[in-house]
Amino acid sequence: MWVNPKEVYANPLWHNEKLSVYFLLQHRVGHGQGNKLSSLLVGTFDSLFETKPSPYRILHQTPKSEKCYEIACALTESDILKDWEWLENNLDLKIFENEDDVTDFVLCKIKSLVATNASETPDEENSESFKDATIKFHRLFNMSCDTNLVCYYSCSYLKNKIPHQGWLYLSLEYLCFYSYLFGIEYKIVVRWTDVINLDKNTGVLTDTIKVITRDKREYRFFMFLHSSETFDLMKQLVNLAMKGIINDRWFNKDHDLLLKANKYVLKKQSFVKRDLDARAMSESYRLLFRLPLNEKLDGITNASLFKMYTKKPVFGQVYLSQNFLCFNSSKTKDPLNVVIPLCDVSQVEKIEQNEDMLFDNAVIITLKQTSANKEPSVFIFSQILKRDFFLKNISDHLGSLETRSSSKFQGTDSISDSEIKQPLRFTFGTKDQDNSIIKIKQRTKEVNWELYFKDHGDSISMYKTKELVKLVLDGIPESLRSNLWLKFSGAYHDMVANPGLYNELVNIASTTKSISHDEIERDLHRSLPEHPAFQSEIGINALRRVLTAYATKNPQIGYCQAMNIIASVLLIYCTEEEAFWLLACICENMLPDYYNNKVVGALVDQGVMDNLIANNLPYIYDILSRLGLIQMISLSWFLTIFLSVMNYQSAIYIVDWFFFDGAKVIFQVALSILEMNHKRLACCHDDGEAMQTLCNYLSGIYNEEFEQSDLYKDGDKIDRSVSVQELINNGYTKFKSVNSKMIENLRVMNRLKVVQSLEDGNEKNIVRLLLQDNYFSSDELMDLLKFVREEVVSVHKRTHVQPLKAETPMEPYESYRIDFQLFETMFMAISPLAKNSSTNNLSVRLFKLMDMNDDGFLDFRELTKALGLTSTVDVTTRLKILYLLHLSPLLSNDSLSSTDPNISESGAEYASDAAEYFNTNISSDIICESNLNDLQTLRSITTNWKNSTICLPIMSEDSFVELCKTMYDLIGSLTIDQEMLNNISKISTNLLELGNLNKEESNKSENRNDSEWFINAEQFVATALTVQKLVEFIGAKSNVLKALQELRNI
Amino acid sequence: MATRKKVLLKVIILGDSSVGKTSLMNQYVNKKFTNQYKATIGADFLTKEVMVDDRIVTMQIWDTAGQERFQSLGVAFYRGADCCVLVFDVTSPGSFKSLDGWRDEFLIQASPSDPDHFPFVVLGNKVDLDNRAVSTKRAQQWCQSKNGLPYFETSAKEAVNVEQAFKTIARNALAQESDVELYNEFPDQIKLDGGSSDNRSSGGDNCAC
Repeated sequence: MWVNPKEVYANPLWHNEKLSVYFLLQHRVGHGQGNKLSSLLVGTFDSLFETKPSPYRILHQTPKSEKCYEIACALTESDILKDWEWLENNLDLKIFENEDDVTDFVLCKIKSLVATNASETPDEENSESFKDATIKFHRLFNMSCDTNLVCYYSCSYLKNKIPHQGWLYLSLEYLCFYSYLFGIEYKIVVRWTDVINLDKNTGVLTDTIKVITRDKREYRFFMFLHSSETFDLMKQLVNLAMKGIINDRWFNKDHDLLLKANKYVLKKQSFVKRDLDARAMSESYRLLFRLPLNEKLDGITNASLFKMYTKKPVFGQVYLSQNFLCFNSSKTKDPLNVVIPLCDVSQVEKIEQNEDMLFDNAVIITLKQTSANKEPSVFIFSQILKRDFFLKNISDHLGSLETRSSSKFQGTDSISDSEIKQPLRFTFGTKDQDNSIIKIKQRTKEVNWELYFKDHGDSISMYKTKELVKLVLDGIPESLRSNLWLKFSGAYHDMVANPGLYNELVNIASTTKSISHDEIERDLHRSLPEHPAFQSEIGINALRRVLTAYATKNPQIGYCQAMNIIASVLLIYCTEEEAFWLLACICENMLPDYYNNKVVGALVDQGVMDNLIANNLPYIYDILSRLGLIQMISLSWFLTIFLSVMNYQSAIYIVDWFFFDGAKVIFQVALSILEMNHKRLACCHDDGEAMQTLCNYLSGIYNEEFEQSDLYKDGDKIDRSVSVQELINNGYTKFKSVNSKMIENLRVMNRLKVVQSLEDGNEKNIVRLLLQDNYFSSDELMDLLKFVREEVVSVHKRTHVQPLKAETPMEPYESYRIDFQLFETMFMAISPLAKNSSTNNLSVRLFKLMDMNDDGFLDFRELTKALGLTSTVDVTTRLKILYLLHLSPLLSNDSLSSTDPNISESGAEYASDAAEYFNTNISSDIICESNLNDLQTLRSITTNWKNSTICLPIMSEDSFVELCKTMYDLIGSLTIDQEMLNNISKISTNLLELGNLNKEESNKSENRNDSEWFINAEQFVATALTVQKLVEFIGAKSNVLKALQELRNI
Repeated sequence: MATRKKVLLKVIILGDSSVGKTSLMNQYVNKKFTNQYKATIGADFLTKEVMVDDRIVTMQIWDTAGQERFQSLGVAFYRGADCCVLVFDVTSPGSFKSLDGWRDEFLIQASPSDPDHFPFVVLGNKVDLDNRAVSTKRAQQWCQSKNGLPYFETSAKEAVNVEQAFKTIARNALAQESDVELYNEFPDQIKLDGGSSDNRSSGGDNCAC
């Protein structure tokens, strides 16, 4: 891409790729490379200056001139090579005699190229006006440059019933407000992670948005314009923050979006805002068509689809993304939904206009032939507004698909080597299967479905109409279940895209051991024990393979009880691989966060359920609140899609509908159950009675199809309550208003509540646990934790924190990870030992000492210990720690500060350096075993600190010299009191002599003459305690709360 | 009178996954054992009417999910509990070690008014199995260290000690319950008491003047 020429300086961050007389093609150092030091550095500079340059550029420079001009840049090598070729082929610069003329010509030529291309080139990241606002935002709120402003709005802040007109700034991390009127300034800064409630009230003229934070503060903003947009954006931002907390993953900008040429984008918007909007649209797109999680929407356009089975067009929207072309017409009385995977498309052509105007502006899409005796399916879209643009986009996607697939799908035919495992229902027939009446019923259903397939197709791109809904509600015939579940849920796409992955995971899982595997083992016989398949090893082994393979695929979930119950039922109807992909689809797509380490998703949906009961069944809501049953009745219903609470042959009909219509189904069924039990619930006196009533009712649900057979639970015959068919129909007809969009909206609000209450609980637990360590008071711990929480996002920005696995049992304090930079900041602010010029050495050593698992992060407990041992314990212990920090295992590795003093000036580089340093040191063989062992010894000393019999190692002369230096620094920072300096030198001399004495003593006692100089900890402490000023200084009481407040104000 | 009232006792069963919580509950309430139970998701629930010291008592037994990630759900179930049963599997040392965690968790979530004297009962289940790994002595020592908690070794499968254990559970829960019951039964008296004590204290003040 050509850019307006601008002068740049030769820069070591760029590496020359190609050279000619007048041009240089450069590649940015560190781009696309691994985690090398240079790569880290460049990354940090970029985020610091928010330049985000493209990784490739072409410079123009004449041999005799110092000046360089950047004339082109690109994100990929192939793009920049195109520009390079153009320069070589089109610019004949030999005709110029003078170098200045060459430069003039080149610059002029490039400028004209830029001007002609201007309309086609993508926008630069942000427009000028927005950049101004960003600068203002950073200045007003003293934000660091990497805080991304998303959008700003005019609004009024209501304080003491007086509105203050000003600007609301929304960034990825904060909600900020600024007003300056009549000499009164109002500034509000709220972190999204601290918001516990968002609310909007629609008024006559203005709308009010209410924000409540963790510290119970309430802010009200009046808005005249854009209130819905503002509120939606706020919801999205707070939701991102909550998801960040849940999954320990924070927002990353989607740079693919930059590449996307889009002429219709409003100039005023920021890049992040566009990114967020695009995400929101992609999300609802994926939800509407059940597409894989990484699918990004490219565009939507109006069009008509010609329905082959009625020979009539239906008007709707066409959606296009990298891998799919979808059509939906939900607003007509005859809703229709079609998903066409682009990999199935063989041809896309224009249809030339014909007389009857039926195919006006039409495109015909032909799919690949699936079998020799079948005509390939054809879709005709007409009335496409920008047909050529539409065609070009489709062919672009098809083109990129081809290049991707040709490189990816090679050598994947080896699936056949594993035995083909059929659904368990074939091997383990139940007596119902031989029942002739049931057989006839199944056959009748199959015929109905076959009729439907004949007209509407049976592939993944079938026409999904109203009639299909009816068929699904009646239950899918057993023979079609696996196939239709996969296609309806979208699990099919993932399965097709990852051939062989299941077998691979099974192999990995069979050779590894983990806590998840143990948990799975315990539950294998407790999944569907009533089915003969799971009374046999064949079924149990299949279940084990599916669950362990999934735990291996997604260690963040691992294994959660309830997954076993779902998987076992899936296995009855599906092959192992199909069951695996359906399970993955449920866990990651349909019931998000349900099975993670705190079952957050299920808790969120409990809240959603409460809202839905309150809105749809207010009288039942009153009964349930009276009984104290709100928030708990439906947990197991949801986690197992009703499979654990009713006979599986009944629940399977709900599962059929669930795969077809998504998560909303479980809400509709749950509401239906409550509604049908209205009278019974009203008679209940307490929560137990109500639970029992519902429990009996649920186990009495039967399937009309199996009318002959009796219901059993735990071996007892049970009375029937209602047929699952009736339950489903009741849910479908009475609670039609419950749709996916509504549920997604309610989930956002409830996620906020659930996450914040879990965080609260977590915080209390941490404080309770760490109070036992006796380093800080509960108020101090609370504040330290709060400070760390505030910094979580920044830590994530500068380091690559791996998301935690769900299966490792964790203490609550382990979920907070503090990098070196944050630790250093806090150490400097709090500990008196940090108040000297060689702090860097001390803080690095202290960090290393406390980082027990050498991962470059301290957990919250390690942090409080490091801070406590240097600032709250008694002076003797502090002196011992000072002594410890100068012992050789820590000292000998402490070459950090001397490597490059320039780097240490900027914290970010220093931090990544430190992490880097620790990592390399652990793996490299420079550090010898004994050294590491010594470090472990020192660490074990700090863990058993309270044990008074622990004896510190002796100190060598070299280490002692370092210790003296540190003491001079400590005192030097305090005062230039000559007397003090004398005192220090006096105790150093005393200690030196003591060391000599020790040496002679040990020579004498052990009868040898090669002993080294040494002192021990007791000698050092005793001597140091004689200097009052030093004692006062090192033993100074730190005010943690004040120090943290000061840190916040910087 | 409080003693004549029909009493409802809420009992919570806690312990690691697959130690036999559901089986114990079913053995006690329904007098039967099957190895066909599914893993408990969320919570399960049964009631039983029993006679304790001439009083008819309805026991409401809540069986909980054992997997650690379900712990955060506890708060909804623990509220108002009269007794907490801690179960471990005598063949699994891990499940015994977890008892501390379960006890702490319960005390935090349920926050009973007198945590030191809240009635816990400890059950070491599956004594019918041969591969025992936690000795009676070790379990008793732990119970002793927690203010002398009652300890029973049970087998839900062979109905060993289950009846006796739950009898103790009921009695201890009732003791806890009746403390509360007194206050509920005589709200007026308490008001009077409160009033009279106020009078007394104000009277004392007057005297001092």
